[in-house]
Amino acid sequence: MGVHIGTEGIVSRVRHSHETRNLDYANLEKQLHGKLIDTPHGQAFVIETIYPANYRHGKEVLGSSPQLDGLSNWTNLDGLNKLPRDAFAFIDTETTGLSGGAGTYAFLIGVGRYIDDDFHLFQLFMQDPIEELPQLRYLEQILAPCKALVTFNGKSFDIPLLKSRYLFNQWPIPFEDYFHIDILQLARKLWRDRLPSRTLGNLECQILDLTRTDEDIPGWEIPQIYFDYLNTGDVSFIKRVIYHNAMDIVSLAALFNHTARLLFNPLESGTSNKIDIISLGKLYEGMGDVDMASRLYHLSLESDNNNYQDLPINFYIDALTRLALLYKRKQNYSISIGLWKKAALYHNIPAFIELAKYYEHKEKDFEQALIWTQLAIRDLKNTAQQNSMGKITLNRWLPDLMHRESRLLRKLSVR
Amino acid sequence: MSVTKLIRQWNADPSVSYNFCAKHEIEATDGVFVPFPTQIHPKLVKILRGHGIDNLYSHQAKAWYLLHEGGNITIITGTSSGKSLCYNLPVLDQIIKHKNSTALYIFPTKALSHDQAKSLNNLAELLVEDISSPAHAALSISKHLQILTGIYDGDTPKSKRKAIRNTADIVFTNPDMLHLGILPQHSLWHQFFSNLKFIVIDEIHIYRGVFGSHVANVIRRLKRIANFYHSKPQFILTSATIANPIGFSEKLIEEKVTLINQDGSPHSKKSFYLYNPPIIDQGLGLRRSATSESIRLAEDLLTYDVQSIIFARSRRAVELILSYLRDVISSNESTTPHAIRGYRSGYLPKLRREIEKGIKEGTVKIVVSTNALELGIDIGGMGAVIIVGFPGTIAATMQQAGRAGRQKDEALAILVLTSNPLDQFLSKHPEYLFDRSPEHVLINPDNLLILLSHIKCATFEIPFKAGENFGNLSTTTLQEYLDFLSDEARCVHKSGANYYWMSSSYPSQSVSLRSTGTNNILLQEVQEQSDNNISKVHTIGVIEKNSALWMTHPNAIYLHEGKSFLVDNLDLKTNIASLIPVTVDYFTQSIKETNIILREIITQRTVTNGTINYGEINVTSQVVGYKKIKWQTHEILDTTEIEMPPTQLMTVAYWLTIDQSVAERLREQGLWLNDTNKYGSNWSTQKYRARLRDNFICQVCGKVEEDKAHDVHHIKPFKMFSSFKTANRLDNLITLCSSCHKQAEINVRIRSGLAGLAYVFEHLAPLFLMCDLKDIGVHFDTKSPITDGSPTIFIYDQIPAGLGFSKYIYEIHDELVKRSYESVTSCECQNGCPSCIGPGGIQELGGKRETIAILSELLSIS
Repeated sequence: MGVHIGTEGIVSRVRHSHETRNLDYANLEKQLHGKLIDTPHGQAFVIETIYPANYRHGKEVLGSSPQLDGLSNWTNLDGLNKLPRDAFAFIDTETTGLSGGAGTYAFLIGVGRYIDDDFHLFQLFMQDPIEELPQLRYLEQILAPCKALVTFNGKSFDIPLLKSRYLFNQWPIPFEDYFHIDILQLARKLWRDRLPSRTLGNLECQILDLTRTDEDIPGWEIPQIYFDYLNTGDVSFIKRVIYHNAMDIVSLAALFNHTARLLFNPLESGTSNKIDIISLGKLYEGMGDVDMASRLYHLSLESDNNNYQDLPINFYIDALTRLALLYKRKQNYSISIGLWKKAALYHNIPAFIELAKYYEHKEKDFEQALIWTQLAIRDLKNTAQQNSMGKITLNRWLPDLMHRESRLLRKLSVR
Repeated sequence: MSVTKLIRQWNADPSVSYNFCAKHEIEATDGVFVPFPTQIHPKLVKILRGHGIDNLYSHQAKAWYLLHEGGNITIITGTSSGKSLCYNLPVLDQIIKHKNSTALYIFPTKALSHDQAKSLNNLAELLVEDISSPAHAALSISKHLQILTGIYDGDTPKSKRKAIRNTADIVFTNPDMLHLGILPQHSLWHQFFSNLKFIVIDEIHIYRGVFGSHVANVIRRLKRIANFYHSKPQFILTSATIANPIGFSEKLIEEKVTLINQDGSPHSKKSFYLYNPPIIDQGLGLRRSATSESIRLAEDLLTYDVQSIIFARSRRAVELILSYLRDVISSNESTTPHAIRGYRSGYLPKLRREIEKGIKEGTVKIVVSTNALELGIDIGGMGAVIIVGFPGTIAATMQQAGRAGRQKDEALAILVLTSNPLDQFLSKHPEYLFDRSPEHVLINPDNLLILLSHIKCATFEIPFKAGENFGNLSTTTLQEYLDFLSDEARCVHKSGANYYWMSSSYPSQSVSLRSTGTNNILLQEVQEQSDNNISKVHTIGVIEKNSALWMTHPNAIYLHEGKSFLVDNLDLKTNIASLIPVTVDYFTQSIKETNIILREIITQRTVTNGTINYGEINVTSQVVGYKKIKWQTHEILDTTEIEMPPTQLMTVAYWLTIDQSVAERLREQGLWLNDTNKYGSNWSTQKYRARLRDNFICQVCGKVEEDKAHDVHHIKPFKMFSSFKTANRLDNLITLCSSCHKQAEINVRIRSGLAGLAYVFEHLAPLFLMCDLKDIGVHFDTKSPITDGSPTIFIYDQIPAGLGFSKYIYEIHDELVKRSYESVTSCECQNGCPSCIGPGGIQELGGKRETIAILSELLSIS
């Protein structure tokens, strides 16, 4: 019956489907400025690019070597800060798909490393899937002197994929015990509040002040470019993938420097953006460094003299209440009360409740407690009339406040 | 005791005993016990002894020895015959002796995986306790011996998956998860696969038809991956009774297997009765409903306090029987409502566990269930089982009946038959149930579409290397497929002689094991909300696109869970059918035109008075209209033309061509010429007016009336009208010469005979094929262009490229004809009924005699 029946469901994905494949590997070396390297399992194709120590990538100088203590604390990787700079490998892969599984290949593995002071970028390109094992063997050679991997979203994508490629080829994973720092996880914490998107491209633009050339290509087109290359041997688009990958890795290294510096000395990191400072504060609060967190929250609130022009109101309140809770934890109520009262001016119900709690339980001043409770109820009802969000807030808090009110009234009447 | 009493009572009551059309009794046996094989690790033997197991049943021991020799086995023994020990024993023994070993258990459903994992865990836990107790420290087993099992299916939380992959010794899964989540991710399972020693596949008879053909390919992929990790696991299969256990097993796993079918377990006396509800209308062959008869029997079960399961075929029937029985007991104060429970899919797992517990503890007296309780969930043996209507396959029937059976007391199973032709056939031929199952499980792993899907998945999993094969598929054929995938579909890259998956898709995600196509139509109920004009949409089900064309065409009445819906719109672009709930007194029946084109005759042979063929055909079918039919009277209210897009099916078929001489002889028999219709008082006038209108010319051959007056023919047979006036209206009359008239009458006759025959074939074939009615298509043509104008019946596979159904019918043609003859001749009806040749009266006259006449010719019975 032949293989022609019922295949209408299969869509040809190749745009130039009639060109014949004409692979000329020698020519490929020239076209892509690469070379073949011998490994025990055959030859691997690599493109090596050297970025000198003073190379400037947007705002960042690639060769600057920040202290890693902060990063080490945040990642909880003991000894990370002791590692020399050449122990870090910056990795990004280009793959035949995003779905994972045994049939997804990393056809381009980019690795950046500092050798002496320069940043060396190795891009291992699979001219044909048959070269996979040599490619992995060469990656092993490059990574041999390293102790830590740095990726962007590598925790959930690049590193498991590379591991599965080694497993698939039944070859030991060379970086099993390496440290791994995923800058995406850090970027999410640092810029979630300020930036609408934390993709590498957007961070590049917003944080590093950098724009890519037209040579760049959107990530979703990449698998198809490789399939087309396999069919036609034409590398013109592959060059653009190689550019894309190179930019990803250099930006990754630059972001690594940038964030390491932020975390090493957050107070003097040079960040003037108050939202970023609050984010840093939250990050330190999460790490349990209450002092640093308080200082950062103070910093964010500093120059504003009770007006919040350079800080959107919700961030301002957030910083106030967080700071107040930190002082409450230290039993330093006098400062907390001031902060809560400020927050209460901006209709922050939890601040009212904190005040009511404070007067009821700490000061045993039930009248004051009742006043704050009733103020909160009035405030709630006012906002509820104004907008629908207010209604939601009302339902969220009112039962609790009413309960508190009646308890206070009871206590007052007993007296 | 109570069962014995009840049986005696029923046999003494003619209103019941008269309906028992067959009785089959299995005497109690003591079982055949065999000592534990000496090779089994003493630890394990000790545990089993502690569990009260001092010996093995003979089949368990045989399984152990065969596996010990390195073979693969298929076990066919009854329900609760200790089947799971057949595989758990060798698997545990292996793991105790070689700690790294792993085993994969494949169950057709999640529920079954969970049930089996639970019982294995109980055993495995005993092992740990025993070993860690100081009294046995002398034994040379590591104290850390702990056998870990894990269930890996769609419900397994992500957080647990890694641990299961890396540490479980025994993994429980289902074919779908294997296909979607395990095989494509095999690198993550490398340790498991490297040490894989046993693969257990339970209830293999479930893997029939499309599903089975897919599963056979999943097993090809599984074996390929095991081989990649240098392991060669042994297979342990279990099955219900089928006709071809070895052939089917070997087709499923493509390995030699040894069959174990001597049940060595002891059991008490068991009876299996067939109950045929009494006829209430002889002419229509109408019987009392199986449901109400079952309820009647169930009431007696309650009275006699016999713990029972009632198996119904649909969820709705379950609820119906349940509510009826609940009503009955509410008037009876001695029983609590919890004594009667339902059990079906749709109940939450927690509720199900509670019911299962109630059954085991005996607090639940009667459970009304769909086939959800048919497969081996452990609930212990019942005193009685009532099966309401033949469940579709003998294997399922026997499994359901197998739920009856106790250690000591007598047990009873009753199959209450419906008026379905297969049910009625079984009432006449109980030997099909009791003696030897005629059901052949058919699969075709090499079905083009199915195979192609799995070659894609396999390429994704491991690139194909030069000279590699795929299961039994030869290197050359495999290469044809791979070249197609690389040159045409462009999802595979050929490098030298190797083929690599090169597409960003995850191929197994677009392959559902339970169907051939991926085209489904969503059925959405649109509920108008009067207050704010917003209509709420709610999906009530899914049907395949091809079925949608005739089941949910615009203005069709679609029945779902007993409710009627009017199809408002069928959108084939978005694949949505919009339904509006309605209350109407009619249903719709689509009018389909089917056209068959011959592609190639593969084989052909002459049979008595005919020829049978097997070959490739193209079936084009199109819905061209529909009829509105009134519920009560089956009166046609209206016929509407519509035009739905035609569907094409390239498939394989069996077709029977009846010799022209049969038609001649049918005419010679001429019974109908004596059958004078009383054509009514206006007949002679109308007859004359018709001839006058037609200018006394035969409207077929153009012959002009000479000496003898031409005949006048009723276009729609006279018998189909209730009044002669409407039958004799001019627009129903046509002038024909006597020879053309005879031809027309023969055509009607042949037509009804063929229609009847097609109906019998269609309904009896599943008995041999173990398939659903919808798996095969039947078409007949009184003058088929494919067979030079001879009357022909086609039976084709409803799946592109076929699964082997029609091929098998070609092989069993003689048997099918013989059984069809018996089925029709033994039916008590007069002119045809739903139990034999189909309900007469809508398009044709009854047709029973004509069907019998054709069958007699095919059997040369005069």
